[in-house]
Amino acid sequence: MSTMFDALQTFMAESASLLQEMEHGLLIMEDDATDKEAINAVFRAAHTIKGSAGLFGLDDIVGFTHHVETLLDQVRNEALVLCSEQISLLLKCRDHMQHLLQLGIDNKPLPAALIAEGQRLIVALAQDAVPEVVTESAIALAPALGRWHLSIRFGQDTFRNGMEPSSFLKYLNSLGQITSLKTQFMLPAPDAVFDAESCYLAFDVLFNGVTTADELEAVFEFVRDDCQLEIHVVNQEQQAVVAAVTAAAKANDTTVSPTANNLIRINAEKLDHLINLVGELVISTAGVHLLANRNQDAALSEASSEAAHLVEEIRESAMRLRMVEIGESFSRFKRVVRDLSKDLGKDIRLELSGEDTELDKSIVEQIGDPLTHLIRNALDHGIERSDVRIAAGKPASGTLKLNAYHESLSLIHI
Amino acid sequence: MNNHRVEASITLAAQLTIYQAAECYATLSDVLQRYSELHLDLSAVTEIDSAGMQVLLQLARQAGLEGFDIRFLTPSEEIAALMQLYQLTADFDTTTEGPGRI
Repeated sequence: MSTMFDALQTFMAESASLLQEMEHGLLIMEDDATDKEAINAVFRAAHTIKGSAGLFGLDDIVGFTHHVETLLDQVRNEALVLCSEQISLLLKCRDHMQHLLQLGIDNKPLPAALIAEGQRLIVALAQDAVPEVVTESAIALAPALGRWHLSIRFGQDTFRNGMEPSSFLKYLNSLGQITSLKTQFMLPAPDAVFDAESCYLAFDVLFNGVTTADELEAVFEFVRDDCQLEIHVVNQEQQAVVAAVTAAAKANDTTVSPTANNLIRINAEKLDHLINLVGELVISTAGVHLLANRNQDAALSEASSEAAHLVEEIRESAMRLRMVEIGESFSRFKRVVRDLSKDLGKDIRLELSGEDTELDKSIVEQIGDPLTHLIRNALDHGIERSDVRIAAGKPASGTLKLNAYHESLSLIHI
Repeated sequence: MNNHRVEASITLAAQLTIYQAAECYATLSDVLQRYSELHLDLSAVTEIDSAGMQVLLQLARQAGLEGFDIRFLTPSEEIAALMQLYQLTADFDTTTEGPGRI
């Protein structure tokens, strides 16, 4: 089904940028393990990946990321402050998620080595997590094995919005167990005309699982605006209505993440098409201008040079659309430098400047690999081990400076 | 219209999703107007979504209201799986022999 494929493409692009954010956040946390913003960004990235993967039935990712999220949740709740080794572990987990995602999207089975790696990481994660200490105030929030009653009435536009109710139920089932489910199929009125593209489905679900009302609510995140959802705890210590969420109540509660990227994703082909058209436009405006001059029509000539001026501005803006800040690919080097300096036993700091320098996207992509190679060489051969440096009277830590500026891109190492 | 026990057998095509739902429903409800017993062969349906399932539910409901007999025969694995998830297996008459439920 092509929409499913499209959705998967979007998911892939989004997860790639989320994984990038996660890595970025973890590297910030390495310098300051209590950076609230970074912690939240990392948690959000893992959480969103888990949620979206669930919708696509990528259970391996959901299962693994759940463990990562559990640990991150403790960090977020200030129950745990990560040390450098734990951040290394989380970076490895991030890489593992990337592998799982790639295989999941290609619909390939997991190789045994990857499964073993996943198990190893999960065990390591569990060791790092602080044992659950349930304080009185935390009882309501702590996940507990409970019996839940969910009542979901999907909006009529659910199908038209490309949503598939069964995906949500399957995802729900991955968080615990649906013990009983009743499907209701009801037209808004008994004599209403059945529209095959409207959704008339509602479900009453009994569900057993170690979870929280918030987590259950998050399962339906993508349809929450046009579905009615009620979540009740049926069987826990106290019988209480935990959350009754209706679309109306949620409508004015739009929390926007503080670091939400103010960007839109555009198909590169569309952009190229636009740039081509602008190119043609420049040529034809020049033709008009030439004709106006030849006919010695002063008014037309003036009008056409005005138009030519505007077209030139359009051309410049269009070209600028292809430009990206080099900072994003710089941040990739933070990880390279970090990992390599650990491997080599050297203490190396990376200094970046000129991250906001803009370059054509294709150039940024092309210089990525050679730059990585240059950096590896610089670290390998350009900086001595800490003990050698101290013996030579230099400070123990070496610095690698990356500076981007226009006219040329320079790379200096000390 | 008044013919008693006039059967129609229809085999549904491979896809029964939101893209086919409207057309499929229009065709089948039209068939229901003309025959008193409809046998739907579901063995070839390899792709079904909730919109497709809803068409089957609506046909069953309509048959119940209007006193027709509709059978949902040999559901494919995909259909059976979705019916199972939605716990609808009991809502569809999949018997081949004997009088219908209605």
